[in-house]
Amino acid sequence: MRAGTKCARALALTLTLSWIGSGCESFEPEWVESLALSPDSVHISVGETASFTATPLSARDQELPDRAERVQWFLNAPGVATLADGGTGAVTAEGLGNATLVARLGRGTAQAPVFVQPPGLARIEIVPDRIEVSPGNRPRVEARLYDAQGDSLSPVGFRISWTIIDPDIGFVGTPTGPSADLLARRVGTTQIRLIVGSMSTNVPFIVR
Amino acid sequence: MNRRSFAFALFAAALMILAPSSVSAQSRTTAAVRGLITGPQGAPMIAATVRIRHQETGAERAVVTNDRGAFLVLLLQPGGPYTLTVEALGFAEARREGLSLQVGEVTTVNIELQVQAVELQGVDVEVDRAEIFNPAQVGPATLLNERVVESMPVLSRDITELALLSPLVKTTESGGFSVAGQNDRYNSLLIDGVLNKDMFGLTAGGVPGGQAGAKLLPLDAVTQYEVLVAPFDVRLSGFTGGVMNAVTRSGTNDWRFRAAAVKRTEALMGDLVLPTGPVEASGVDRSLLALSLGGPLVQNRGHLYVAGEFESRERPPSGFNLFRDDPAVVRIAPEELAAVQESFTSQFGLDTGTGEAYGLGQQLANLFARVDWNYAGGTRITVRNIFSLTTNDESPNRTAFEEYELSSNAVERRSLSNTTSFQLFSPLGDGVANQLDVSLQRVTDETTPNSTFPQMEVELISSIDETPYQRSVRFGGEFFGQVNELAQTTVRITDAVDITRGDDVLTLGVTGAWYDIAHTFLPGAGGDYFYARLLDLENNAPQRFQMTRLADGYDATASFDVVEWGAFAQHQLNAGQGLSMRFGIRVDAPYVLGAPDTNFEVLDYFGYDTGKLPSGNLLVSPRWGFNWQSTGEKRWQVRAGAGMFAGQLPYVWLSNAFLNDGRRFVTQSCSGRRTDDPVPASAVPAFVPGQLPTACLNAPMAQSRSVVVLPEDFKYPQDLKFAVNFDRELTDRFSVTAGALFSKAINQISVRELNLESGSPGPRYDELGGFERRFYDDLDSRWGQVLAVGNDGEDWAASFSLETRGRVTDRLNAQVAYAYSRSWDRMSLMFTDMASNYGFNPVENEADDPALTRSNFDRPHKIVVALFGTPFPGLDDTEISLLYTGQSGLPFSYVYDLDVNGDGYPGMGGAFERFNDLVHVPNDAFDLPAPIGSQILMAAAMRDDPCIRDGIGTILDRNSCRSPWQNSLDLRVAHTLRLSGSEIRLEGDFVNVLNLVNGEWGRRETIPSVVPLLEECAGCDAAPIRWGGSVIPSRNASEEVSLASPWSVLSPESQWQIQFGARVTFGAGR
Repeated sequence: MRAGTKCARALALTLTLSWIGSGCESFEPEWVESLALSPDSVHISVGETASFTATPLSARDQELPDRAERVQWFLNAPGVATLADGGTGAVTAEGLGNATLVARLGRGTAQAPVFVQPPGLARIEIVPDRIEVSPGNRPRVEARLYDAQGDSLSPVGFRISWTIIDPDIGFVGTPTGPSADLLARRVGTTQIRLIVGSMSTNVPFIVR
Repeated sequence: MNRRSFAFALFAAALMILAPSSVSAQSRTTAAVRGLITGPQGAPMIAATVRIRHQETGAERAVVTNDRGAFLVLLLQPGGPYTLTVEALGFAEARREGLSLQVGEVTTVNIELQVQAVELQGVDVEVDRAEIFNPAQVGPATLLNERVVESMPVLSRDITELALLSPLVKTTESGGFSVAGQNDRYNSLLIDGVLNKDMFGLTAGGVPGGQAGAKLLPLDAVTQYEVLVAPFDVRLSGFTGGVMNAVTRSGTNDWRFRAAAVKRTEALMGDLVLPTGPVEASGVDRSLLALSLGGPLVQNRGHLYVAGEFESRERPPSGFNLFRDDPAVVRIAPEELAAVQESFTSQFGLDTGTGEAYGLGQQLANLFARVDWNYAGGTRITVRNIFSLTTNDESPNRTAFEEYELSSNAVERRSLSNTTSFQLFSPLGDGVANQLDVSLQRVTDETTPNSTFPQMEVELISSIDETPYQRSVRFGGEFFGQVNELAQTTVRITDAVDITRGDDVLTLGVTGAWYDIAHTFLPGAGGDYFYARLLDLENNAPQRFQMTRLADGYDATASFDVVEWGAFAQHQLNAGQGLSMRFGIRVDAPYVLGAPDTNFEVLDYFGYDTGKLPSGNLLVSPRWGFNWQSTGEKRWQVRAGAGMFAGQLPYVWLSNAFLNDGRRFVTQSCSGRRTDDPVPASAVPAFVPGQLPTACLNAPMAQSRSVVVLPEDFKYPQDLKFAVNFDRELTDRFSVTAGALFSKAINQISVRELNLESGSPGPRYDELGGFERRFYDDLDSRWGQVLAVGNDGEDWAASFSLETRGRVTDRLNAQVAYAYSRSWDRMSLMFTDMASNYGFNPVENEADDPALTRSNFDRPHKIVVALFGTPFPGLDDTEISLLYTGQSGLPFSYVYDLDVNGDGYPGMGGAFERFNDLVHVPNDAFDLPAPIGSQILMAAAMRDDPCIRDGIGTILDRNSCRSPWQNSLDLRVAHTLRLSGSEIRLEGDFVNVLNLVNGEWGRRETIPSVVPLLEECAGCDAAPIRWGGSVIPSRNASEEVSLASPWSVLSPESQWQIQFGARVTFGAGR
């Protein structure tokens, strides 16, 4: 083999091996950028326990489940609810009211409201069960709460809210409380929804 | 690298290495001889016997020529003289005497035998002249034989100084050696080819015990010294700078005893003449005694050599000392300092130490012992022991920069180093030879502060000649010396086998090393108080307090081990027509044993696991080189190479990760004066001797935790280098070399601060180049410095050199060399702690993505002129040697003493006092957001300082400024008296001859890599900054405000000195 060819081959091989030798898989740091909290809220009665889970997510939104055990939990309402020992995210209701559960890990923070309501709620109704009005009318609806025996329950201590499915047809003037004033905007059919704790029910709202 | 790539790399390399062809490669411990024996009309002499004998030890080897008449003798001891004889039946014996072999080189001796009846001696056909003309020489190198080592004025008697004879080697601000623009911690120090370096990297020079100023070896123990800038030999690794190898002396068949003494005093020293007045010579003393003994334990078999050097030095603190020098230069009025000392001592009964010049002592002891034993058949064993013990009173800071330190703020360093090495050279027959190296090294470093009470700093305003000066004075236990110890043990084994077939030599080898390190370091453990003025000291109302507190259950010692293994294979090809080629591949893999516990807070917040350190990452280093020589008179030689070089990680940076895991210690601080109205809750309690505060006056102490992390894929530094050199013989005793070298970093170390997010500028900070600058805030104020060490491959360097060497006359040897070198990097990593490596790296825009600019090791020009010989006819025993080196000044950057960009540097207190905000030069000095006096000084700077003038309207680039050219000229005159059986040599050494000729010449300037030009204007209503104290204002001859130079002149280094020495030698041995 000629001297020049030997030289060239050796140099080419050196450069190729240098390129190979410099390569490697690169390390990407993964910190906890956010937390996904589930559920995003709970309504529980005094004495009941609800469990939350927090899933750490990286900056690329990838789950980091092996870090979940280090999530720190905080609750800000003594007398309303308490956290279980051991940092498991279990909340036990102690008294009526609202609390905020906070989960923290790394750079992630997540919050979820905890509503503690009176016990025994089994069924809810909207009265009337059908609203048919003309545009411009302002009907009123009321919430009825019942226990398992069918007895009426006082709305005090319950988180009651109203919403309308299609806001172009109507408007809910008082979105919270045991009753709500509505406004019929234009002709159409939609529904009025009552939400009490974790329960909800709908009635038709017809504007002719 | 994944396993498939690695396997392919090995397979491809094997094809190349195992391809048939030839020649030899030598280690840095041995030499070799080869040649061609021919008969009349050039016919090859087959089976002729070639003997080579080392005359002084009697060691002899014999080989027979092959079917081409060629022979090769490996594993020879460097030096000489050797005698080579050739015998063949029917031919007259041929003899060549006086051969001297250079380490790592192959000497060629070709002989034509004559028929015995003719009775003529064998005739040399071809003889090497200069050492550089050698087929084994590929990369750029400086090779110093025994004559040069003996003659050059190494006035400190530190052999490593000889590296400066290479035009590619520059001194650095830290006192180390930068080779071809590379980091001064990235060199390899060898003794007889065995690594003998401070692997931890406390000092830039790399000498074990270097923190105390230890020397490597007794000077008399060294016979050869070489600086290899890019050796394309895969047996050498662990460097991306250069290799410096010292070849030691062995005993001979004749006893020799030598004693030498050297003396230098202040009476033989000049004054330094500065514009402000003379600086008197004082406090310099040096006494040295050197002894050596060598001879035969058994004639022709076993030889002993021992050498010792014992030295005591005294010198004053380097710089400008109060009461001796002009207070306007020191910038402190003597009465102000006296008031501080009196107030402190009377209140607390503690001694501040002195602010005057005083004697700093240094004691050095170096011992070297070597035993060589030769066995029949050419086997040789060499055992060495290298010991050094050094104690040093480190100088308090007395330069113009930073705080003026009293003697209580200095430290004493003590370093003890011992290396024992065993080498076995075994020709095994049938063309196989083996070399086994085993070494054990133990190094301990201790730091003892001169006082045990906390570090104290008092800011003073002094009126000197009706001009106000501001400068702080420091005393008490030095912040970084309060807890500081190191012990390191290294065991290293290397085995290499050479397999010779004809002219072919294939080298295969393995190497392993184990490092055990225990580093105890807790800076600030003793506390640090700051008083904003003398009145505050008198009222015992500090403004700041900081300390480092160890967490419960932790100790301040990082203990860990590193195991490194490597394997290499190499083959040299004889491609014919004068061309020899070398190709090899090397694989290294370091493993870190042990890691801190995982700090889950760091993992979850920053994504790095402190419990996982990089381990087992392969470093592949293929290298290729060639050497081509012409034949005949006035030869040409071309040598070139390309390849990868894997460096070593200074283990102090790894220790950073162990000590800074975010849990081991916490930095606590208080700020605010207890005499202010209203009193801040975080005010500092009054100082009480013997007690450290556990809380601020009315609040808990602020806490900050520091973290250093390394990702799992982190790799040691790696460079790709290309070199080409042309050598030409001008006459039969003079040659010239021109060369070029290019280096590109493949993996280079970088540091990032993780605890940052985008932020907003402080009040009026946007006027400090805000349109170009990025501003930051802490990502999380619970954390202090969170530093991630990674790899960034953009550094590069290029060098061009021209060198001539040889005999100018029959009596005078000369070397003249010039090199132009440039190096660029993103950060230069000049410090032992990563916080300083980051915090002292000035940035313009992105703090975490610094621009590629001039390196701190960029010193473009260097000239070396060395002359030695006996130039005077009739005075054959009078030797003159002269060494001149001139090199470009040190690069530096102007910065603010203010955290302009909000990245936390500088922060408060000794733990965070690092400056990285480059100065913005306004278009008009009166646009500077500073008081009018500072604007006037800026105008003067824009007029007088070329670096600032060139940067008007911009943020200055990092290292865009440079201190003046440095000249150094040293001279030695030696006369030898020869008496019966003995020899007396008298030496006179003249250090800094230029200063002797002219009092204003020969100044040695120093400057830190960052110079604070502007600082925070505390107490100013509308101006955020003002002129800092580093560049002193004055008036020039035209009564204009002007500025003194920002660099500081070192004393006594800038003054001429004379030292005398005498050496007596008894015996005929070498």
